[in-house]
Amino acid sequence: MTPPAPDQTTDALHPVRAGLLRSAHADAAALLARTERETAARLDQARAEARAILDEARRQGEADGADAARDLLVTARRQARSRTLAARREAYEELRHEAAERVRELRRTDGYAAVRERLEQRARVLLGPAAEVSEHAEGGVVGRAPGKQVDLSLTVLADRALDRMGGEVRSLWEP
Amino acid sequence: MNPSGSMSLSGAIEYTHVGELRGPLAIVEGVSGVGWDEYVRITLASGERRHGVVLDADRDRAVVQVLEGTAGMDPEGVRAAFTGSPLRVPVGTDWLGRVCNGRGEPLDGGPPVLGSHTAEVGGAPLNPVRREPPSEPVLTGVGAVDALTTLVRGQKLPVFSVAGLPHLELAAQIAAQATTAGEAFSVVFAGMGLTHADASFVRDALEARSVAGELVLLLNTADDPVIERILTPRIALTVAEHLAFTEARHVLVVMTDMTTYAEALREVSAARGEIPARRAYPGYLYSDLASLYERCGRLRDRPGSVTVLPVLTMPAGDITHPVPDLTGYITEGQIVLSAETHARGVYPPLDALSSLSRLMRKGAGPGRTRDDHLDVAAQLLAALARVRQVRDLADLVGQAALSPTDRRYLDFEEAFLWDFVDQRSDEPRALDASLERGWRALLTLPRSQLSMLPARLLDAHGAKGLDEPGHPGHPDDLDHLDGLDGLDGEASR
Amino acid sequence: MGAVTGASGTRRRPAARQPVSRILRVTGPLVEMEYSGGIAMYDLVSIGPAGLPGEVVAISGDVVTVQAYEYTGGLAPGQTALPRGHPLSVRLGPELLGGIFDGLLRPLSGAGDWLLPGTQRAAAEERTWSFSPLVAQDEQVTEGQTLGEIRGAGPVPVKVLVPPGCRGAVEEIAVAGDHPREAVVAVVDGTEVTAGTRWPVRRPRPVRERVDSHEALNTGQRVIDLLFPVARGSTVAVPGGFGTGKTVLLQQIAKWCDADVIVYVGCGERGNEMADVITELSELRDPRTGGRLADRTVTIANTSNMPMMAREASVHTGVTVAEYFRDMGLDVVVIADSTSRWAEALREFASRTGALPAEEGYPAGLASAIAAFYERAAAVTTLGGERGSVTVIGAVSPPGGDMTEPVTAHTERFVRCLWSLDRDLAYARHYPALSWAGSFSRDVPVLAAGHRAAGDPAWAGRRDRVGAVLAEADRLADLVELIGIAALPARERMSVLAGRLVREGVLQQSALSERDAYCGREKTAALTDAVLAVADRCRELVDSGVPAASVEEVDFGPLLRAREDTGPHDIAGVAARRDAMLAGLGAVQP
Repeated sequence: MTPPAPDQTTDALHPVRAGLLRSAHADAAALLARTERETAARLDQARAEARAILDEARRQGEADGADAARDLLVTARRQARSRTLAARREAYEELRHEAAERVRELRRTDGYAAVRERLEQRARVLLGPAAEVSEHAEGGVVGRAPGKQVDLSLTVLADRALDRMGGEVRSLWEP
Repeated sequence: MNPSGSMSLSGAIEYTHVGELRGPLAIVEGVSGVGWDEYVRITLASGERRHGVVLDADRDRAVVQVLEGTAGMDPEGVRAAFTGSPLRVPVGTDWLGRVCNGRGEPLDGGPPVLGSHTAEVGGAPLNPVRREPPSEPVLTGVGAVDALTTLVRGQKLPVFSVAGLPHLELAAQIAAQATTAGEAFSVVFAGMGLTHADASFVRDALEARSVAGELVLLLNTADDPVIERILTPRIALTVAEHLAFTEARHVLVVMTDMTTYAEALREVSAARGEIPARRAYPGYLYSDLASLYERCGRLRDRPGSVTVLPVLTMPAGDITHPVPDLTGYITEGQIVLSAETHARGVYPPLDALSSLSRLMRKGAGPGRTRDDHLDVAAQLLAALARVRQVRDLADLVGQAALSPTDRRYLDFEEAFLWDFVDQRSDEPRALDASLERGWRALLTLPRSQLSMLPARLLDAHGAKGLDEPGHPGHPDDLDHLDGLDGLDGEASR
Repeated sequence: MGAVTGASGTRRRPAARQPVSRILRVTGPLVEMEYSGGIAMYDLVSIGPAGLPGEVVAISGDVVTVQAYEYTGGLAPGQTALPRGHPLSVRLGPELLGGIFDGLLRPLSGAGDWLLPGTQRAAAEERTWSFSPLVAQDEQVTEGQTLGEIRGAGPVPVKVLVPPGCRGAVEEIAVAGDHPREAVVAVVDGTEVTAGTRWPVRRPRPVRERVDSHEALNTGQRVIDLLFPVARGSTVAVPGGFGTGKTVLLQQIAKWCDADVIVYVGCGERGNEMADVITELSELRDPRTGGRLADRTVTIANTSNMPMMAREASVHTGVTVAEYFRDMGLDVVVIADSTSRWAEALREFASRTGALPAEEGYPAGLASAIAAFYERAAAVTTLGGERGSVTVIGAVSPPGGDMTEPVTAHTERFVRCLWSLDRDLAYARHYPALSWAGSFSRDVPVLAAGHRAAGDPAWAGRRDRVGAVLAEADRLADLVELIGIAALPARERMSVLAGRLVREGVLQQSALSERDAYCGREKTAALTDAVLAVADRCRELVDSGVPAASVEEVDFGPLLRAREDTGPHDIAGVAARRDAMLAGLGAVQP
């Protein structure tokens, strides 16, 4: 039930990860606040319409009004909910994108040679000394041996690091 | 959701030698350290992602069952990554308010469901010594169910239905309305093999609960991979257990349709070449169903509870079919729906005489619901049993030849069905109101027939002898407006 | 018997060290590993890093097949397995009484909220036991003889016996006082004897001889004690579909029958129900000893969601525990609910090993497996020369209520008593829903003799009369359905009435009522006699010209309620109600 401990390779990504979440936070907060304002306004409007339909139905002694009002509210609530969720998803994907970007930037730093060295070693640990290891187009390495391979490209490593953050990412939309 | 194993070294290796594809099975060669029942992520040459489970870890071969099936798979270019453990899912309150598919991936346009902890979907058996016997009710707002077959926190109580009856409506209504006397409450709804129309009906019916952050909705539709159906209830229960025993909520898990689930299990079993037992279902159907149903309960020294409400359709209405039969052996009672009552236009079409909540005595009555609850329920059922005899007699001798008392029983049945049972599918009915309707139905009978009710209560309700004039009044129809008030209340929440 | 080593009395092979073996294949509970020497069939194996328990079920060439008793998820080829060098055995000792265990007899009380595979379950808190020696140093003793007693474990003293196969002089004997469970309390002919012992679950414990039993096990349930009695050391099967009250009936017997020790095996049943049994037993008092009922009970809880393979072992574990207490000269009852779930576990494993299936996928050996299980029930003279018995009561859950399915059909052949539960009776709220037409007891003749010898010569006659009344009422019931009661002659209407009185006044018994849940033998007799006397009087009345309808209208409530209105042994109360009823009938005029 506990999150697995980060392994050596992703330790290299640790500073990236912390800074990333900080800046993502600011972006997400703005996005989510805007969504919330919009959806609240829409919901208010839907409620007013629903009430109008109900009043009208009551005046005319009809029973059908209730269903129409209900449908209207259900739709409005669903839309509001999906806008909020979409905004969260946007924030989440932005974070992934940003993470991948930042990790790729590692290539231009002085430490990259050492990182690459470690990744190459790791590939050989996983696949055996005879593994063929090559540079990945987006940084990092790919190792191949008969019947198996490992993808240690920077993009994949960034993805995994994020996956491992699990619940932490929720702080983007949960104060 | 990111189903994840522990990120062991093995997680990073992708095996590329698929020696054989057969039915839903892929045989991956040259593996090492791969465990049985491990979860597998499969990537096709096209980049498409599929998922699988290890059925047989045999030396350096792993037989993998591909959840989405092997259609369109070319062994060339397939990569299989073993996650290092059986399927785990994130758990936590992030699930509340979410709508996902049967594998827990979002259907609501939101980000993946995230959690700071993960748990194995297979769960672990509750230690029977640590179980607390169930003793408090979950009120469903469905009058007949609450009054006659009270659902008790920690119980497993299935709905037995047949095709064409409104069991999905009933399941959705219970999921939408159920409460536990103001204590934190959530619903996890697992739909298996639903048609798109049904899935969208369920989403609509449960919208308010979802928005209120009290619902987790997992929807596996009829066109989703069959094998995925085997995971759906397990994910639902894993999420529910955490919400209950870690997050201190009372959780109701609705699982529908268990017959569809069992068919998926049969399909998998056949693909594995296992020896079939009754009606070609696997011999372990009982244990498999038990591994789901038995995850309900309460624990000593922990708050929260998991209550399970499986819904199943009896093929051709046959209660001896393995799915209802084995379910009946495991669960604590059953709510049976009747085609005959449905044909008369009564909703919910409860077959009250065949329905039973074995734990009702522990969860209803003095100190639990209302002092007269058990007596009223017993009297209603006793009267109903008599109605059945009277009907048989009427068939034999004709209605005109019935005694005055017997004719009152036919009046009682009318009142029972139309005033007590019948309810709108979007109408929450409080237990007090339901019991009062029960009383109203009972008072159509002469006092001498109400021997299960104490005299004090009969006096208070004005029970009359056979010859005394004055039948109780007709039900007022005012409560059709209740729904609107509820709607408004929700809207302004 | 030089091979006997240690205190257990089990024969161990000389190989002192078992080589570690490598796992080759894992598919569900079936694990294949390398043959590394020193492994025998049915030996215990610790599998993988978690040390999951398993049992060797096949050895073929250099591959050993092991059946794991727990969930094997994550177990991988290449990991190690450790053969333990002895068959699956359980620790037997005074701590069993009042305890709750899983199918392999590991204590559940100390385990956590969830049972994780392979977790070394905390052994029940080690405590000391008060031992009193009953033999002196240098005394000559033989197998099965009592060396000393342990008190304070439960309502009965737990005896420490000379292990089977061991005899000779007592070389050492502990002084009276407190000793830990594993302490050696005696040495007999070089064999160390501890307070507890180990025994392989699949091997019946030896006895001097099996004997015939003439003594009834009193269950406190009228329909059983009156119509389908069971002798001590006999076997019973209880088939019943769901909702027929099977578990309630078995629980009633566990609570009230007059055995010394009860072994309750919850085999693949409901968790909430087990929780309920456990709670109730610890709240109820034993009417005979005044102690808690839980203290004479050993509960083995292997609920339906606990590992299926341990379910297979749990019935053997249960009988082994029973035999352990039997060997002390006690009467023990094993209740297994439900043997169908056990048979399903057999089927499940057979199908995984690719065994040729017979009916409904069950292995061909099903019948012999069932027979072997019930055969461990017996009344015996123990090795130590005392009388003891193990009675086995097994529930059967026929799928779809189909009594022709293999488990039900085979079981019926091997048991001496069958208590068939009937769905129609249960539906009519007639509990216990034991069908008088569909049940049998082959113990009736010996028990009739036993009752005669015990001073109740009327027992057999009473049973016959009740049987006749019920049969006649059943025959007439079919007729009534066709033509209506009014069309029957008066005498026959009285037969229908007599049937109703017997059913409602004697056979029905409320498990929820404090006074009716348990019924003493004398009260059962008194109630039966009272109801029969009233039925006779009714018949005399119609013979004398009273219209049947007038008799039928009499309020028989006081008689029918006598079972609940009087205490479990209150014969005088029953007699008073009978006399009042007879007097009331005297007032009915032609």
